[in-house]
Amino acid sequence: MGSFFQLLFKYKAFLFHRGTIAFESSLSPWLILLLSLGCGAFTYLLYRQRLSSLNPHPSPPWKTLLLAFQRSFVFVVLLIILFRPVLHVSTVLPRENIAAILIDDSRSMTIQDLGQQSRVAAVKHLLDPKQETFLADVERRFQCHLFKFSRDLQKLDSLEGLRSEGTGTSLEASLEGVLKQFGPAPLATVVVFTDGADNLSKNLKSVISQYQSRKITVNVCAVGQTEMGKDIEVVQASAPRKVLPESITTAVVSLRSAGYAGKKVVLELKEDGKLVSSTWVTLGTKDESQIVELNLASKGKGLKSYTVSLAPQPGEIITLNNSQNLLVDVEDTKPKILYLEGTPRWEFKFIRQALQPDKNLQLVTLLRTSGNKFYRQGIESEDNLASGFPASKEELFQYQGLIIGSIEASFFTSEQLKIISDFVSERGGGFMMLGGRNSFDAGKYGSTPIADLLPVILGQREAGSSFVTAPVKFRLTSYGKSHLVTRLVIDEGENEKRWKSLPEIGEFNWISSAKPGATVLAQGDRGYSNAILLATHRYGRGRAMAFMAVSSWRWQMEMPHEDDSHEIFWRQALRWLVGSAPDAISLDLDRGVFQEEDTVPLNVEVNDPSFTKLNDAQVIASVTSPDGKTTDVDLKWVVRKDGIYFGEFKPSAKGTYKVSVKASRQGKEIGKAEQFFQVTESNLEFYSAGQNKDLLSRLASETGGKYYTLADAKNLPEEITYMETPNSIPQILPLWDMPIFLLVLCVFLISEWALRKRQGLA
Amino acid sequence: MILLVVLASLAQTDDRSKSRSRHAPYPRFDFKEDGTSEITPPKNEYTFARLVYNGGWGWRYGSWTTDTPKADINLAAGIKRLTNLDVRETPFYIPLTSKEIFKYPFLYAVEVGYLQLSQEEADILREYLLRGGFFVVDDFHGTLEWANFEEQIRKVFPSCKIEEVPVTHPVFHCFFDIEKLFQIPGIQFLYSGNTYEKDGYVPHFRGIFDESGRLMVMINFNSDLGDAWEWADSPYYPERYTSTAYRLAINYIIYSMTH
Repeated sequence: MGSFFQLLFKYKAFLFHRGTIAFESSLSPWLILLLSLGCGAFTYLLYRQRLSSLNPHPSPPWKTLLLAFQRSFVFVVLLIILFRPVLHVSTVLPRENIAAILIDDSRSMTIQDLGQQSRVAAVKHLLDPKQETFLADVERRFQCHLFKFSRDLQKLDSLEGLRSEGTGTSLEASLEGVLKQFGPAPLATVVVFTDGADNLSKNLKSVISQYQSRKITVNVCAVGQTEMGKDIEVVQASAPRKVLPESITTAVVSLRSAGYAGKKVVLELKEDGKLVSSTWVTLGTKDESQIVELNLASKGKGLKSYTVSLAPQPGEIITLNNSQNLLVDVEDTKPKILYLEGTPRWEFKFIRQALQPDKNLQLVTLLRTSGNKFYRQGIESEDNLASGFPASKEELFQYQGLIIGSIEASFFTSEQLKIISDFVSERGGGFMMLGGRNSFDAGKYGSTPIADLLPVILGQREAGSSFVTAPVKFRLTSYGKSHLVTRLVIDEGENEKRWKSLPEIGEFNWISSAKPGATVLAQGDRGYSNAILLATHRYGRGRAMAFMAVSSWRWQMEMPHEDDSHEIFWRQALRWLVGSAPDAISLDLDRGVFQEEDTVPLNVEVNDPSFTKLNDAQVIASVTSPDGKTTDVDLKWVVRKDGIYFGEFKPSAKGTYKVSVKASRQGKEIGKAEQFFQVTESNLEFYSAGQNKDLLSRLASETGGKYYTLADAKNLPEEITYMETPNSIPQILPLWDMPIFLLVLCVFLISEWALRKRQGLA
Repeated sequence: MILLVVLASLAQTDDRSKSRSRHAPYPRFDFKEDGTSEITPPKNEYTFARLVYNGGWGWRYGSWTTDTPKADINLAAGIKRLTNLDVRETPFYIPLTSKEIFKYPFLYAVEVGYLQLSQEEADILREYLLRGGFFVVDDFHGTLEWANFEEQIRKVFPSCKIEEVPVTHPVFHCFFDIEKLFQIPGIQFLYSGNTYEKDGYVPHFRGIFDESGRLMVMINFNSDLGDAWEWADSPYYPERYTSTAYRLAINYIIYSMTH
């Protein structure tokens, strides 16, 4: 098609796209129009006169018009030719400009999705002077510089230097590197050979803007298939970074697959190669992302390294993306939970009893035994809670969790109610209200800040009718069946059975509406199926839970003493409740497992004991690498974020690293934080490894370049010659001798002659 | 002088029998074979559950009924006045064979010197205590009655250790601070002048603990708290004993609801 166009129009079509057509003659184009109209009128009159004089029966007017048009058109074409039409294009001076050729050197280029040939082999073939003229064609026109890139840009002396070992791809860093490399030199174009599997760029748009402003085009030669065929990816796996010993926790795994829709596979979770948990997964369709949850019980203490994997499937192109690592720190800490109860009751006793064997939860209780008498248990010193419920942030915020039992709202001062609300929203603590004769609506909490933080809606029932005495069984909702709070055993089916075996509770607070975004975990049964018995949600930085049942102690007293459902429920619920409560000094590494050459972000939040953010602290992170070497990183306050300090660390080797953060103020240490992270071999390149055509097309079009496949890349050397750059020069290409003119003249003269002959004029 | 004392004791005996007939002719507890029909689920947070057991003979027949209902009613009133506990105000009786027994984690048994447990009942009591129940025994005196009680409780925990509960233990401090323990005499004190009965001269506050150190069984040996509650409104029964008996009972209850 392209050569046919060139046969008619003398030049290739892209030149007409890029250039502008003009007339070389100094006469005005309006003159052509005027002359054309004159010719048309003259021929029309002439033909009308001739046709009427020669023929006794005058021809219909359309024949006169047609003849006149044909003849006039011939005149017009001749006029156009006489006015010497030309094509103005911009062109680069031979070897005056620079063309940078960038070749993707990342691991994804080793994928063999081009028949028996890998992506990099196909590129090498095109660029090999012994086999193709591509490079020579470019070098004839430009000063040509070869580079390879993955995470950043490197000069390439020969194609032999391509190793395809890059563990990540950043077009942003690579294109920016080209600009830095050449500075003010006349860089005209960048030709990028890549599959576009860019997994590191964060702000490619800003680099594109730089290219646009400097009028440097980016031409893309895309390699690889856009559709990967048969493949399964374990895209992501996440689990809580820190858990308490003997906790059941959930690993959330994200899967993607193509070509295996409907197939059942086993997703396995292994600790040091030993199977810990597994589940069957039915794979979805190509565009479907699947989320699967795997439960794991963290036994023992210390760092646990897990691998989530799917077995390679027959016909799968890439198997290196079938697994992900997880790092969980089973931390021997003891979060403190304050439990305030308004009256002696069995629920209180049995919750205490359930948590007593738990060495990783410290339950401090304050029980009002009579009008002005409190009984304290679990306190560390006689001063603890000596004046009753905490009246200051500093006193309350030392706890990670707070349970309010059956105690009326009027017990609290308005300041205390506000502090409780702040405890959850600002401090990030976990809050739980238990059912009781003086809880929820029955305790008149409807118009207090506590009503705002609860996951259920108060005020829908009269205080007098909100407390119900009736036998009701816990019925898990679909969320409850898989939620950590209601997880008595790892196996989901077994868990449901166990809940069904638990006896009825005798009393509850009847609430039937949850707030938007809240998760209802359990409801009543039979006549009370709309009664919410357990619900939770996030409130600000913390978590809030509403437990409307009053007598969960019956799960202990009415089950064999060997049955530990009651203990496990309370342990799980309270561990989950305080699971996200941060310390005053908290370290966030973004994730637990990094890949080689990743940079680890060190984010630290610094608060005083009342969780007021501090901006004047000195924060130092000491990173201990696997070989025992310690590197100090001075973290700087992020001006836009109160209390946040940031720094980065670049690991040098694979293995487990420990980060210890020390915060001090005016020379005095105010707190510490510690976390671990793991550096593993990078398989990043094998995720979403298909050719990213959308990205590459956009990159080319936004910089004025063009998207090529390897098949049409041979046109590139010539096409990049004609482009407008700061160093390009205008070129005038004559058009008067285009074969199309001759063809048009011939066609119209012949057809006009044939028509005249039929009319007897020839 | 002797005559006066005898007359006075007769007057007290009359008063006692009148009191019984005034409050409840005789505590009756009828339950079906399955043990469910007469007992409804608890409506109050706390119920003073009196154990119905087999035991006693002759005039001691049905010794589980001793002091009730007045003692139970008086104690409930005291609990209500001194604490903010939601307490059942009427007497409540339950046998170990009742399926509802596990809904009442506090159990009181009187005159356990006459207690007779079948092995089935002993097994239920063991399960009840291991699940978290609390058992208070009271009003038994002297070597013979202790021997009977020990024999019965060994059916429950064959190798358990029965220990003295020191006055420093939380059970004596969780509500009232009880600094000194002494013998609480039964009503016989009014006519005998002795705080002891039989050869139970020395009071013992003993206990059986579970593996975690929780007190499961509170044993008031050589003391009679039940009489002290029952005769709380008698001008002749010393206030010192009544008030201590109330304090002990409330502490036992608060302990059972906090440990």
